[in-house]
Amino acid sequence: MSERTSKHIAIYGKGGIGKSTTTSNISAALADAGYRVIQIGCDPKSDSTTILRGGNDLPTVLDTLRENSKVRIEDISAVGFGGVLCIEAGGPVPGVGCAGRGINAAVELLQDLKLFDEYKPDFVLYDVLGDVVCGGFAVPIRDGIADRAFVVTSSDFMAVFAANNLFKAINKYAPSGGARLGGVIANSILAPYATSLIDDFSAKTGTRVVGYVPRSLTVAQSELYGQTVIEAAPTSEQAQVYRRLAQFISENEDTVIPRPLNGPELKKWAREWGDRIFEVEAGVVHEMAAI
Amino acid sequence: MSPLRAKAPRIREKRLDAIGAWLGSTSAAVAEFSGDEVVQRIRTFAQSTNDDLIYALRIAGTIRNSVTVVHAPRGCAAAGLAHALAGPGSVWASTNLDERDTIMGADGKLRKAVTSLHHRHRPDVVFIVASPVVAINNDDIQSVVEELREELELPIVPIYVTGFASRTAVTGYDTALHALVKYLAGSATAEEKGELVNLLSVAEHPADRSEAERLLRELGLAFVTTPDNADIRDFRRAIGARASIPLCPDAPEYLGHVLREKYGVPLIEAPRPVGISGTGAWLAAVGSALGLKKEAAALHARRKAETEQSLAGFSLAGTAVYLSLAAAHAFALLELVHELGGTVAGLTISHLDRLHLPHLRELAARLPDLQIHVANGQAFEEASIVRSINPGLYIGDGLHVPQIARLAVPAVSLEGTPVIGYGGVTGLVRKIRAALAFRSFGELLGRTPTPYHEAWFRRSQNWHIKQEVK
Repeated sequence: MSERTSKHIAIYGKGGIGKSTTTSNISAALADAGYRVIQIGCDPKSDSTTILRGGNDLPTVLDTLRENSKVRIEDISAVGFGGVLCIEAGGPVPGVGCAGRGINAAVELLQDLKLFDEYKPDFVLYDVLGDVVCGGFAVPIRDGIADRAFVVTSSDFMAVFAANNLFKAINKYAPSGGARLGGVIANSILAPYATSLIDDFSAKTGTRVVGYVPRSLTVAQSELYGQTVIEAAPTSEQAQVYRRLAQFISENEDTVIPRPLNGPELKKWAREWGDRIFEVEAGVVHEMAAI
Repeated sequence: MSPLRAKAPRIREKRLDAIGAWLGSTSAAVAEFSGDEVVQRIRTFAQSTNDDLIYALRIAGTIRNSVTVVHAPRGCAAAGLAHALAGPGSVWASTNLDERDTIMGADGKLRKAVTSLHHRHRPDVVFIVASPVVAINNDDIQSVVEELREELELPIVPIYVTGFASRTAVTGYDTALHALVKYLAGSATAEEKGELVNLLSVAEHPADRSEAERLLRELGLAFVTTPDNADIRDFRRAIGARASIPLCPDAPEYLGHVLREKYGVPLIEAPRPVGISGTGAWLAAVGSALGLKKEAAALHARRKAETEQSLAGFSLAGTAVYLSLAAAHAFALLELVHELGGTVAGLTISHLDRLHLPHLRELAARLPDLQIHVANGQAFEEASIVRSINPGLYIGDGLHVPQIARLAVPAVSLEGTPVIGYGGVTGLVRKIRAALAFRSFGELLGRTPTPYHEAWFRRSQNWHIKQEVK
């Protein structure tokens, strides 16, 4: 169906989980590896690409929403670190309007501008806001816009719960041309049980983890400097983590349709992990315990 | 990128710089369109007007053995009634979205509607027309299309109008035509062209269509007419045609454009066949493109003589006429008025875009000061304009004739009136004769109070038309 050679990838995950940080670092790593990258922030907060642009202002796509203004790509984009083309969809101010409709309109506008035909990116990353609460926020995974979606999660239950919900959305749209799931990105790994927990959730829902990103001071510091880790600390171990993740995404195109857990299943799964963590705290060691 | 890849075509404002509000001379209009960018206009006050959903319904309803589901709250399908009254339309239904549906999503309801209508009517095709509500809440229509297409084994065609993305209703025609070709034409590449020609007819009166078809038959042409009154199989035939002949350079233009871009079917440039010389020009364009120049000229000569005889020297000399119609229709009728010896005092057209530019340029060269008013449904502006111009005759598409008649101007409504071809000329002249002869009712109406305050009539007529400021 697609006459494009560029890969369109959507990144979803609970708000505050580190999606934009992760996406920006992946974009930076891909650009550093020589690819042409566009990152499109699909969040009315318009803060997806901040650390790629050193915090400079960027007019959003929806700022230019008029029937007949001759918008040029330069008006709504900025070239960030490594040559990553940064675009923010934008949206209404908090409490008014309909941001979901805004995402739809912004994506259509970018297609209308023939952005992808002209810029010819290797990768387009859509960083989509956390809680997909209405049809509009699913637009990047519908209608053949993104080929693949990745879901970012930590080991906190709320993040896993959100990931499970996102699997429901992917599950709904994948059969009619929507994006399939490339995998889970495990973020903010700190506690010893975190990787096992996320691995287990992924296995139970028919997918797998494609990268483990530890919680790191380097990330926090780079962000305070308004930069990605690739820019601020290019030789750090954390930068290597992002580079490996970017490499995996660029080389690996396997996808699945996930099998989200239903309410009772998720509750039971969570309880079991609650028990296991308690045992870790209490120093109980099971035979074959892979914690 | 294939022109049919997207869910819907670009809106007319973006595709052809369409504007819906304007008042000025033909030469000013040409100047307006001569730059790269046309400044969009808005109305700071507007009476109710049409939207693209209404125009799309008009096309969906004309396909034979079809069912149209309007996926919307019940009010959005109300326009269907008007079309049902206008002629034998298709079966239509509304999913009647309620509050819960708009929140929880209504693809289940849509699935149920399509399935039950299929079982009840066994149509050849089901149309699903979107609406403002589902455009905003992004309700999922596509998965219903994909699933039921397989399950019921019939084409299900979604028409993604929004009702608000475009301010010019004619975008609705483009959107419906896009969907028809995308889902019904099939994927044949441009093979050897067959003998058929396409007659492109959108929202035309059946008698107008027949008149045009008769003329093509007299030229010995075999044709298929789309989309008016078409069968779904006609779209598959259309992609292998020798050429497309539009009955209007505007309304079916997108269909001709896509047939050319995707299937290599040449689109013949021809004016609307209205009036004696207008019809002759249409025939000449057809004849010249298809190697039938002599036949076309002979046919025109014969029918011209017959028509002129039947007009028995009728003349509009000394009468200034005001026209209020869709643009291509208005331009064509302008020529007819001139043909009958009259003058045109001004035009109101429903929208203006780059398709009209060649004709507009030519008009500006002849009549640089002719006033053009661009408006769809703005009776208040039209009444003020006509009152100040005080023409001897008004010819309109029916919507505003009652308001104009109250200004004691003889008025002819073209609603339900065939105007195309040589037959159209005699029919129209009959109506004009009557309007000019029987004036007493009009004069009586003129003594009733108009709904507009004198204060409005004192204002400049483009008081509410402003340039859009970014």
